[in-house]
Amino acid sequence: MPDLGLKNLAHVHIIVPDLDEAAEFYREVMGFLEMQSHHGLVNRGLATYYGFQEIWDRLNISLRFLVFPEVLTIKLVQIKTIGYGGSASLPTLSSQVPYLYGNVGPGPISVVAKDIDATYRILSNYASDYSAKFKLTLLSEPVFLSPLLPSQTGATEHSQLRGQDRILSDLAEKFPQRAKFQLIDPFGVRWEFNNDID
Amino acid sequence: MGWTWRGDSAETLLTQYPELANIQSLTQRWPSLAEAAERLRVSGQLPNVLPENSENPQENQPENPQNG
Repeated sequence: MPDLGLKNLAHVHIIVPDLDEAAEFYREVMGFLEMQSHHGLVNRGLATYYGFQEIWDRLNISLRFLVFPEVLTIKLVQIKTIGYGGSASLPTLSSQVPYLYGNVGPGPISVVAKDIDATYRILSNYASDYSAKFKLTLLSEPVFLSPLLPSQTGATEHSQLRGQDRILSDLAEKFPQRAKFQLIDPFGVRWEFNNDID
Repeated sequence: MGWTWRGDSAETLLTQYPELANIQSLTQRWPSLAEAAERLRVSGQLPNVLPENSENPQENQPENPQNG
């Protein structure tokens, strides 16, 4: 049995058409606490580990974290496209670009790996073994996210981190430090593996 | 840890971001964070980073122009 060296669940992605509206639902109905946002990301690293490396400069990605303490952190992901004759939401492109999410809804399950390179080696060896029983689709090698501009990290008026500039600045600096990669398992579930930077 | 707000490392979280201990709306909903804050305060490891009368830091903080 392989040891992927997984440490813990990081968060679960939820792909949404509108970040503000979705955040309102998860705050007001589901009781999550809103934390930081990253917005307006035209980010090669981010797009690459999502499997969008060939169109990274056409995607404008925004993220928002919400936490249900002691239970679960969710990361809302809004992906808008640019350069296709205007702005289009993700479903519009789903039939045009391989690996784009087919619809809004559950996104990758994000876990932390103690040694992401070791985890990647095990999974890529399995994926490249044509005699293996199960098919894995690795979307990229582990990649670092491109650094953020200071203006791309913030907290909305509903965030617990409103006004916590030191924390937000630190979170923005950490953003590119987390090497990560994603795969699609045989059952269509996306997994995201994060380097442990703690 | 800090980036995704895992609840299993509250003391580590507070060591990195002691300001969190003063966000009442957060500690009220996050028992292990509140307990860790109390432990760290008792042991003198948690600095007071906001005035003690900051019951709602979100109201006392300056406007953050970096709305997400």
